[in-house]
Amino acid sequence: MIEALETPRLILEAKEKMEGPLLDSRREKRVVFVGDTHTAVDLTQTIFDKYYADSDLIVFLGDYVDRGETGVENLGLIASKLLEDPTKIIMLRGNHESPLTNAYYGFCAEVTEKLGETAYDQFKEFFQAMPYAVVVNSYLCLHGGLATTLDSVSQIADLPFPDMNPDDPTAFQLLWNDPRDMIEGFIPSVRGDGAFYYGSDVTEKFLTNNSLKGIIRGHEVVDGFREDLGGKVMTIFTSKYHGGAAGVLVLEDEKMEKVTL
Amino acid sequence: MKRLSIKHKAKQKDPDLDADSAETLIWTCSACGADNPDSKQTCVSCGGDRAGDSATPKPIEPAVEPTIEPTEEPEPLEAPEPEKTDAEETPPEPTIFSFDTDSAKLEPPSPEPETTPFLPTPTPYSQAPPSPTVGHGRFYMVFVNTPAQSLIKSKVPIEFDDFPVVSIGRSPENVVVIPDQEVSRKHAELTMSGTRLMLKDLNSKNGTFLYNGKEFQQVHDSVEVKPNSIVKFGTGTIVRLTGE
Repeated sequence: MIEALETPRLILEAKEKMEGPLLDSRREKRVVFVGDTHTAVDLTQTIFDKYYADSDLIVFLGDYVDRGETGVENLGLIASKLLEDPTKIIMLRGNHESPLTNAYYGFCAEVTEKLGETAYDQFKEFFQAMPYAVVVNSYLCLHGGLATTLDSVSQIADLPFPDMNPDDPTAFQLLWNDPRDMIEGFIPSVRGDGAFYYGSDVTEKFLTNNSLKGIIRGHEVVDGFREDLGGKVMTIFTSKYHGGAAGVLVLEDEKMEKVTL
Repeated sequence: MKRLSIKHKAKQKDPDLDADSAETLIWTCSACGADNPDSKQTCVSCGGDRAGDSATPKPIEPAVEPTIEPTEEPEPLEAPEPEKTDAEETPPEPTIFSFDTDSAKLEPPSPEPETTPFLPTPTPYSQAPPSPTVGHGRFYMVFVNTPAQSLIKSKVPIEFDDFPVVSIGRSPENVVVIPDQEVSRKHAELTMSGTRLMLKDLNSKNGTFLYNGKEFQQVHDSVEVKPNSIVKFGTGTIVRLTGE
């Protein structure tokens, strides 16, 4: 177990391993995808116990903090594993890796209580260094989803970076948008200004134009998993604060397995 | 999450009644509000006498005890927003869709919101104006978003043959019950005007909005909605209206 006091050093070192807004595409034999953990450090530990040794890559899809008391420890644990083998862990940014949410959902208060008044600044620095997306085995992995202004995956590499909140509209949408396969195009999301639902036609078009098999993302509270567009868009949720199931997705060769923790 | 209305139950239980047109429904049970054919001396729904003063409306039991769980939706972009809650959906039933649920809690924290089964109060036919288009078309309401995550993607039939006025709101007496605290108890209604599908806002607190392809525009009073229109009720529930 990681002590809270270790986390500032771990995230400082992990920050140096971050490689910009879009990571290089990966192709691996066995990959585990983890949705929002939201402080569930026990679940994160279970994932490492169960998968770290036998997997080639574990992709965390963002939202490690807020909505609980152990966000500092959760971040520290994932960062420690990333430092142990940076090729084996990907830590994407979620909409909760941001001052926009941390002030209201508990992480600022948690950091202040455990590490002092000024400690949160280090976390902000870490958050804005985290990547938005990566393509793994032809699946686009990111926290929220497609943006109204995004035509190709490669555009993500050119987004303003670092971006604290983020304020760039495309970056913002990558972290905040949600898929809805019963609509076409983009419609404004109930989450607020600047966030959208992306529909079936724009998703199909994006996948085709970018030679992608699908999208793997988190961001929504679901009972472990939700499939949209016949499974082309997978939503994973890996926390239990909602009282539902925590799931991870295991991709081995071409086979996708849903595992409930 | 579905609730059979007493009116529907009557229809399902009595094949004769089912086969009859609305014009044959000539007496209304004073106890439960169900309409009955003249041939029946007791209410086909609650069993009450035609005189009606001794019958007790039959409570409709929720098929599954509603369980409400906190969810993340929606989140603020720049301001705190209350946690909303999730209500489980009961297994789907073939013809009638409504939700039996309690109001979602908004005030954080809400780890274990109350769940109180309700006794639905059906709206008697006599209170609803006759539909001018009974037998015309069939529409569906597909949930694009609502705080109860399990309802997203749910497809609710809108059947004007059964309900000339399809009331929408948070209260259980509505034809379509939306478990969203930002939706008013009696929020909006759908009717047919000839072949036109009309949406009316019932002076709801947080408004009814129609998506115009660019933004959600508030509905004042009544507007025509075309198939595939996107409608927002309050701040957190969006549906798509589809037609057959």
